[in-house]
Amino acid sequence: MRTVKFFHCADIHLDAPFREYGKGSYGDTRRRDIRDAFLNILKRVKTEKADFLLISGDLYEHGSVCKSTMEWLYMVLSEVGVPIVIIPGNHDPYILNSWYKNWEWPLNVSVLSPDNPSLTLENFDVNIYGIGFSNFKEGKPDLSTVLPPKENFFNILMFHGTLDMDFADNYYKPVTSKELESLGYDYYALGHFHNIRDDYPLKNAYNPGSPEPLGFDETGVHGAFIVTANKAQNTTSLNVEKFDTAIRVYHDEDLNITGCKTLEEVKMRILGRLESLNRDRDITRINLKGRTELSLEADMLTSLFSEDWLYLKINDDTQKSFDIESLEKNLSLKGAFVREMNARIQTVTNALKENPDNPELKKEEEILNLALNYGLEALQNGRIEWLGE
Amino acid sequence: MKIKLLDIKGFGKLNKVKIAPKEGFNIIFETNESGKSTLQAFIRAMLYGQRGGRKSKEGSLPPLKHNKPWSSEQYAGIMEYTLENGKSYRVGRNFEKGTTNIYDDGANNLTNSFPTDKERGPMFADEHLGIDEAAFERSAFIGQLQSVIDEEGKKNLVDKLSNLNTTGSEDISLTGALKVLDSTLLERVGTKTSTTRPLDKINNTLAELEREKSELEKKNESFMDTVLALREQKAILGELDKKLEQLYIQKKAMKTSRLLSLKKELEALILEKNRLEELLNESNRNIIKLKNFENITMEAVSEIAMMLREDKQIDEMIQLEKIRLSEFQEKSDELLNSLEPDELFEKKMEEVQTAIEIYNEAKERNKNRVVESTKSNISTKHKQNWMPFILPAGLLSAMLMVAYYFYKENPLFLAVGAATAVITLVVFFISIARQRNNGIKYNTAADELNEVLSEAGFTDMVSFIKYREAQIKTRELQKSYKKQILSSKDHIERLSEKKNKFNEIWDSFIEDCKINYYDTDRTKVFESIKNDAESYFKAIEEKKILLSEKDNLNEKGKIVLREAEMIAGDAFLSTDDFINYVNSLNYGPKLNEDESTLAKLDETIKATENRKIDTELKIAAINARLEQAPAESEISTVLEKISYYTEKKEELEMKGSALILASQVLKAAALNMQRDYIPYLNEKMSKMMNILSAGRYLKIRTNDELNINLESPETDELIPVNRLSAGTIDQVYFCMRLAAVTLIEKDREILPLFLDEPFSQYDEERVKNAFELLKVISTKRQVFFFTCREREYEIAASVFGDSMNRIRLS
Repeated sequence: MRTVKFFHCADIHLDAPFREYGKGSYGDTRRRDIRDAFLNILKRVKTEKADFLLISGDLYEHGSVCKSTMEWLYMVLSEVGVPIVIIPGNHDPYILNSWYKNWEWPLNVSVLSPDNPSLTLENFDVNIYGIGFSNFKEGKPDLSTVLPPKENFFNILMFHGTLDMDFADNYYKPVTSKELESLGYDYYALGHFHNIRDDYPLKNAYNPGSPEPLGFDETGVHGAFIVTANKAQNTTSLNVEKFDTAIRVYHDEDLNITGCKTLEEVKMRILGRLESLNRDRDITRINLKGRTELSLEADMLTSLFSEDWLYLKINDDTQKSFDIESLEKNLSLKGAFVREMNARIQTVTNALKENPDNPELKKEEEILNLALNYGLEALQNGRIEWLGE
Repeated sequence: MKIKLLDIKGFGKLNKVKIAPKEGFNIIFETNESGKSTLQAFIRAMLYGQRGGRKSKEGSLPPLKHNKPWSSEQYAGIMEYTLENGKSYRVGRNFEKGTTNIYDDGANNLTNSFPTDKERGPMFADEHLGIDEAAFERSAFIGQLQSVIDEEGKKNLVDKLSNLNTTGSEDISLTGALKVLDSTLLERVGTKTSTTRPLDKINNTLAELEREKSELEKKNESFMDTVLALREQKAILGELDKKLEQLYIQKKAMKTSRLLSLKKELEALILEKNRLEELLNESNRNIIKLKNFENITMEAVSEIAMMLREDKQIDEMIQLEKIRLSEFQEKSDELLNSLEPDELFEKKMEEVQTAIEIYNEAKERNKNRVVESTKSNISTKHKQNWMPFILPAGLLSAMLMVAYYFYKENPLFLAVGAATAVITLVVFFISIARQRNNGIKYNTAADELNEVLSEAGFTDMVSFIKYREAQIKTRELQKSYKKQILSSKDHIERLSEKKNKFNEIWDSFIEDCKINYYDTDRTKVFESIKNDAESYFKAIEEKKILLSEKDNLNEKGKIVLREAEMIAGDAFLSTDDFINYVNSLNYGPKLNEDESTLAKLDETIKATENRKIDTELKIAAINARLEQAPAESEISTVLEKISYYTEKKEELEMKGSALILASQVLKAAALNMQRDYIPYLNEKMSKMMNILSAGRYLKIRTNDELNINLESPETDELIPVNRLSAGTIDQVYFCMRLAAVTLIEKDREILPLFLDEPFSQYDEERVKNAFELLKVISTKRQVFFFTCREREYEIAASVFGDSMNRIRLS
């Protein structure tokens, strides 16, 4: 076969709603960002004169995508001028009323579905097999039905799902590198996880992540892959290059304000942190940490600094500066309360060490810390300082 | 812990004061403002250091500034103390410089062996005493009691007692804290029963957003259904377009085929027309040949034929009539010859008639006479009528004779028959005789008649009648013949006239034929004319038929052309034009016209086109519906709002959970305290109260509701603390404070006790009892008693005697 050059992207999430709720038309701006990031890929496909483009699932959000976006998508995909192969993901599954089934797609677009899972691009000696979603949640896929690779073709397996992650309840097609490797394909075009990854145990598996970061947990590079491949006499050469497409960068930063004696000091610290960020590009969340006697109005601080920012949020995660160590020794009810709370906090902290990503434990720890503060405030001050609405 | 030395270099108003307290009871009996509180502050500062910084919110100075010496240059001091384990320590603090040095009894500087607070320096006291400054102050220092006479003061004291009893600290209120947590939960979060609190508002907002989301999702679903419908309709439209395309091709082929067929039809028509033209020409030639008969009509021929037949009949009729006329003439002449001349006959007839009339008159007269005689004798009439008898009698006689002939054996038949015959003959002759007698009377008239008849040549009347009848009959017959002769002549004349008329018609007919016929035999002439005329008419008829057929052919040709024009969608100027057009066509596939005719195909095309129009209308309607699709990002915006409010809700719920948890843990901790400390506290308090009340109250008990009750030995009654007098409550409070100190220092260092005017509300007896208690306490614990009251000093002195150590501040 001759050398082929193709692009691999995934998880575009057109018209996705955003968890962070910004001022004004923040959501609309971010949805435009997603389009722009996707356009960055399409432009590059044209300028690099790629042979075809692969989109490994979650092209759009089934629940919220609107007609105008689909019309726009039709226009931009048809303008690319090269074959585009798509598999449905868990956010845009191939269900009865899906846009894949009902919408008119450009002639250069092929959607691989259970009805039609494979495609041969004869011009390029490329054979593609797709394993996408036919529902919003799907368990382990039946890989025995996957067609074997075609001889003398460069074989690509497009897969939207979870690779090498042993979640207890995995509803997103969990597979292992070993299982995929046994299929014998030349390139595994993955999708589902939003962070770029090219270091799987399966050497020829690549996950491009989302072209635009979609939340505070999606820091780092966001883009797509340009793949140059050649297969001759059982020898496959693969050159995979990643490139950045993101319009925005998420920053989720903790700022310890322990020792700040006045609100002004806190403001100066926040300002110091913000100076290193790009207000036109960065979506920023500053979480104030530490212990303080100060009454911090997070909303007031947010509105004070966020005027020129697309998104800036300041959270108050500080704790009241109770001398917990000393209180623990107190023989009064206060001491007994602190000891009881600390014992409970310690139990959760220990559990968190075992399972640091458990959201329930994190939440429990947060509730316990809050309860400790509230209890001490109630005992000591006879009132609870309530910030926010 | 026992304080051995207090060397105040400078601290507040105290300047260069050196105190060496005793291990037991120490009394600082000084006037107000002499430095009693400063001494207490100095001891606290030496142990725990002093907090610096800015003014507090209330405007008070921090201790470090507040306690600056008034007159001394030095802001420092030294304190020496011994712990229960026998180890002694010396602490030197320079508050000005913020330096602290701790030495053990071996003069080892231990300063760096303790954790150091930035402001307070090394925290040795926390370690040596096992409690922090706050706990030390709360437990070791008992200030002037709060009990006053009024109810408010009493309540405060009860609250303090309660706090002490429930929280271990008189300043910490469990119920107050729980109330704060509950009210915060209700006001700042919301509860299951609340409706207007923040959480309720968020829940309402979320419910509204969920409703909005649901509506948008429905709209989206409906939109997707519409998109699906559009796709289906477009597919149908595509199919219809394909079908129509095929039908159009089919139609075009069929049209071509039909045009070809029409062309053939037209060509056949042309051939037929040519043949007709030939026949017409021949017909015309025949007509021209028989042109002489053009004025003759078939009616005329028929009429002439009839006329000729009638003429012949007339000839025959004339002939017959003439024969009859001749016969009638002959007979008439014959009759005329047989007749008497009329005058003679009339004369005879007149004469005889007259004689007859006379006779008849005579006869009439005679008849009248007979009638009269008949009327007078009816029987006579009967006698005269014997004929009814004669005939049957004769017949009977004959029958009897015949009978006898057959039955000769019976002579009776003969006898009777003969007798009957004789009788009949007798009767007959008698009758005739009688009639003769009656006629004689009118014989004269008859004779006269007979004479006339005879003269006229008649023998009798009968001959006359015969003559007369014969003459009359003959004359009538002759008359009839004459009449018939006239009629016959008339008939012949009329027939002759008709014949003449026929001749005229014939002549006219012959003239119309424009041919000269020399033959006189009309029949022959007529037959010739008739044949020729019929040939002419036939030729004319044939021509008419041919012309009609030609017209038909022309009409058919026009129809074929019209159809061809319709099929081709073009106008053809002539047949040749059409044929040329068809010849120029590229012939499509041959079709089996039996299966689908062009008309049928047209119907199918029409139906398909109608379906296409319907489908296009449906698509237009669907497209119109699609225009009403949810606005861009509408649902995303709602989802974002839901996410935002859900986060807020979770935050509030988390805070609510934290408030509830705090409340629960507080209650649990309080219960634990009750379980772990209260029995001990009660025991200690009871012992002290027994001393304080001089045996009036033996025990202090706390029930499950954490209420304090006193047990009176007199009544065995448990008296709630709030029912006691203010003084007794003071005593209970004092006991509880002392008990609390023992509780705090349990398993730790025994703390010195600093009492600052604790008995100001006591009467003398109570003061004495209190000192008695302190005397017991001071055996194991160093006590510092601060007072400005003479009474307390004297009572203390009386209770303690020499063991009391008075400390002077000046």
